[in-house]
Amino acid sequence: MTGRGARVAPDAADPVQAADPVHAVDAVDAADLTVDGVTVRFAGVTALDRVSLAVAPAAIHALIGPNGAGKSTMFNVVSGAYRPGHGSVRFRGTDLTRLRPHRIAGLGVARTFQNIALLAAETVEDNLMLGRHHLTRAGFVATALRLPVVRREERRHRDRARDIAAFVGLGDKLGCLAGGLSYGDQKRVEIARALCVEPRLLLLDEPAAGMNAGETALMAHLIRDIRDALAIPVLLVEHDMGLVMGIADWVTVLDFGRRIADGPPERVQRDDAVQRAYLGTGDGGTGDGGTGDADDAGADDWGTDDVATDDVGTDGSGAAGATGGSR
Amino acid sequence: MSDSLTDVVPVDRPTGSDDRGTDPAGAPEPRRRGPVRARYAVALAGLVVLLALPLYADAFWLQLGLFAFAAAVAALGLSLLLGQAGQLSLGHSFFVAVGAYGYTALAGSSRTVGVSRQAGLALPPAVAAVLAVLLAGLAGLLFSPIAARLRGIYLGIASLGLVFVGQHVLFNAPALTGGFNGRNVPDFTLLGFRFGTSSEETLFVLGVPFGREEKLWYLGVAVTAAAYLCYRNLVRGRPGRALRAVRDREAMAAIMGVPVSRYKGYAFLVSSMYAGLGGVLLALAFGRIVPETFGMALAVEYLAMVVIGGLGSAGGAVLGAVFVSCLPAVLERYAAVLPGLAPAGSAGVSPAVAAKFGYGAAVIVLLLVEPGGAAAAGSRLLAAGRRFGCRVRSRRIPHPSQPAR
Amino acid sequence: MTQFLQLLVAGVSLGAVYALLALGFVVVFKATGVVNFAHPALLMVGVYATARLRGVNHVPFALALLAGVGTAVALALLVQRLLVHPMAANSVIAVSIMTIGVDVVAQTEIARRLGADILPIGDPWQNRVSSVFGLTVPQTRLAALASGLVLIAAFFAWFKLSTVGIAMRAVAEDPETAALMGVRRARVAALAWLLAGALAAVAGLFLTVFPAPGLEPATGAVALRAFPAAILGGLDSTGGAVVGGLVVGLAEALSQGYADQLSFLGSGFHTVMPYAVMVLVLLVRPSGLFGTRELSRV
Repeated sequence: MTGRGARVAPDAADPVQAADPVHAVDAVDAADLTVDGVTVRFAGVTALDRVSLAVAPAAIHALIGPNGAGKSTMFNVVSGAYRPGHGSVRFRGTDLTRLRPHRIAGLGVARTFQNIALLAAETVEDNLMLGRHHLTRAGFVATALRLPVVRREERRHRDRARDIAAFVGLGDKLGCLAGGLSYGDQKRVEIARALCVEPRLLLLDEPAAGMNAGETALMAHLIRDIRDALAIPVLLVEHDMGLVMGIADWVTVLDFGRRIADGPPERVQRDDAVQRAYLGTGDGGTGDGGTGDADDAGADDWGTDDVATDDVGTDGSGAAGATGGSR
Repeated sequence: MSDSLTDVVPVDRPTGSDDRGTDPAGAPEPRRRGPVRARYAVALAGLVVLLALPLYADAFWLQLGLFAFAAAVAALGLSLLLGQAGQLSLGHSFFVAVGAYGYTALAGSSRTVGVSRQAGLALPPAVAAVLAVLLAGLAGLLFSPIAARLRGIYLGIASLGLVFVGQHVLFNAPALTGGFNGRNVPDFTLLGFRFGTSSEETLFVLGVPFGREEKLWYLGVAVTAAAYLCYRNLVRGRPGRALRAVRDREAMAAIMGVPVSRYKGYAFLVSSMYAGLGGVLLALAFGRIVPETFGMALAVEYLAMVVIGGLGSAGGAVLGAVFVSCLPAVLERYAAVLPGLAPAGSAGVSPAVAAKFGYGAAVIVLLLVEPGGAAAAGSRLLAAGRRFGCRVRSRRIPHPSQPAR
Repeated sequence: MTQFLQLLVAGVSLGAVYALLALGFVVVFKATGVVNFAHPALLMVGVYATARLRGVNHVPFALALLAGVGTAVALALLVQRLLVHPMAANSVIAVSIMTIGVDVVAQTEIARRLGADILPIGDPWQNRVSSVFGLTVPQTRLAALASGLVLIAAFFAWFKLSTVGIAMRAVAEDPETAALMGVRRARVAALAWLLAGALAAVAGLFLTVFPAPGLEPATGAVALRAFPAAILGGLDSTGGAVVGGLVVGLAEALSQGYADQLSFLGSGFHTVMPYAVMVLVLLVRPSGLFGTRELSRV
């Protein structure tokens, strides 16, 4: 991931720059997802420090920051995998903070995973059907007896899954084993599975990771199409600044677990604190970006941020080139 | 060595990002057009053979078949728990015992045998059987909160503890079990038809006298077939998908909407009901049960069955069950002609000992060579073409920031 | 009161034996992640060799014991080299289940050779008793206690201080990094199994001498009680193995000694006591007393 974090300035030659202006609403009570003062600590390391953000309805909201800033941790808090020490998360009025993950999914919060979390031994279609779990009701007895109501339900939901697969461009791969697909296709299966949840809020964890410029452009289009078709908010963790600046309506920047900037993309990318966080200060020391959290200057345990991976010891300094090493 | 035992990883687990190429014996059987018809034909032929067998086979084989049916049903339950849900439970023989003794006590009558008093509710056997299965399910349900808190091998050894404690109770409850000497199992009766050998009149079917073994054979076929079909339906449907997701990626499954603890509980409930049903059949097959039977050796046998057959696979569970349960008796029957076997009690290798060597070695060899068991070896041949057909490689120029693939 | 103290001594000496067994079991788990279900088989093989050499060949005890340890170690290394090592790429549950197969084969063979016999070990202590602080204690129990303490202390000294011991702890902690640091994982694995075999053989000796009648097929079931000991201590904690062994030993001895008062629990409850204690501990601490708590990761 070397160099990813350094691309803060918009690339004039980047094709994904035409942004559809969608007016992001600032007022917190009009927001769909409200994260309020969330704090998460792991064994002495503060992964998130009183972070607040608000995702407006039908907005594409990007969450960016150097490696180890707490972005995936935030996703895990919203989807219920972690319980924050302080703070709350509300989605359309419902408090998510104390809910079990499957209940949160039941409310329509769907996500993709940074490191593909598919079932490699199952077909694409069966992976998608897992997303339909909370919408279906076939229990053990009914399924064991293969009652007509179960067969009908299965058929109905498989049809829907097939439609969604076609929408993301996987129509011809439904019968393939997920483990045999290319990386790009697997990422699309992840997105399709999240769509199968019939989301009211979509969390995309680095959807363009590992993609070249052309694929990233396609992904940007897909994300916008999804938002336009479903009119749902999309919260997006991304390192690719071109993608972020191109499609995001609102950007929140984290560094060392703290929010250092929050606003429309153009304003954020010119923000001093953001530039310091990504590029580091002139003396080559640890980029304090104005946050200077004493607990974890140069902490080696930011592997806890990218919890989907096994990696340990990313250098959280945010200096260009030094953000590598997370893979 | 791969991940520590703290993830629950069954033998056939291919992980998302580092597929080791082991075959997915835990996945539902793939649906194919042409071969499906062939499989139906084979299944039909097999069914015809099974139905006609009592007309030709002698009591030895019929009796053996009863044990095989009982083992198959129990093995299906363990396959669901271990293969589909990924819960390493070594306590299966406990739930089998609940089924066996549940039926015996509920269907048996209270009386005094010698100096000891045996308790029984003298319920109609069909009712007793159903209740015994439900009782076993209840036991599984009660154990599942403990199971949900434990990971991997901790669960395995805790469930082993269940076997020892359970067996201890059986030895020390003579009213229930008849103590060391055991207890007779009441004949099964359904709608007035008694599955036993009557001394007054003999049932003749196509000229062949039908005694207890013949009648129970058909019960066994029916129950095993039903259990098998239910298993396949579960595996292919929503519950199976949810269980496999819990097995392979528990955290992701929860986030996708699967209530993980609840499904682990369901897995125990269903698997112990299967075990209970297997226990009822086992009791009927024995005719007289002793607590000695329901110990760790039996638990290990069930594990061997599902491993040899292939974890998670229905056909594999049945095949493994037939192999492990029938091997000792078959070896004994043909001890005279098989080289190397000596009569029991002498210094050589007795058939019982040889059988143990047999399935012990089978477990070792299979896990070394084909961790997916017999089922995976079979499906590997059949599925090879399908996977290659779907392999799509994108022709992109590798970007330096891409993860190495 | 004297009865209680006697039982305490019995319990601690039994606990020391279980601790040795559990320790070998945990060492293999820590170094390789494998749960070695063939551990009782290692014990049986080692004790059988010792007993046979004593009884048939009249080999001096120390030599016979050494040979027994050697046999158990040889079996352990054989299993590790031929069966476990080639399965390095498989999941650890696969390997662990494979060891169940090994256990079945090995214990069946020992049971076949034993038949209905109970083999006496021919140890130097026999059924002699000594008087310690006014208590009558069998000499075998004192020997067990002494050997257990010496071996456990030696093990921990080696584990914490020697280069090889540190290497083994490194592999247990983080195999990949250890490998990158130059630690030969295969060597460490072999060493772990070797230790397991040796400790099992010594523990087995003390499980089959007075007051036990000798080596019989049922001894395998006694050896199996090392598992709950290891589990309740925490499967990845060597210290936990020792504590677990002591807890299990004490629980068993006390419940056997007070069996009359505990008759409502059924006869022979002391054989089940280790498992009952284990389940109780797991209810409160699902990873054992000293095991590392699981963090769930996404």
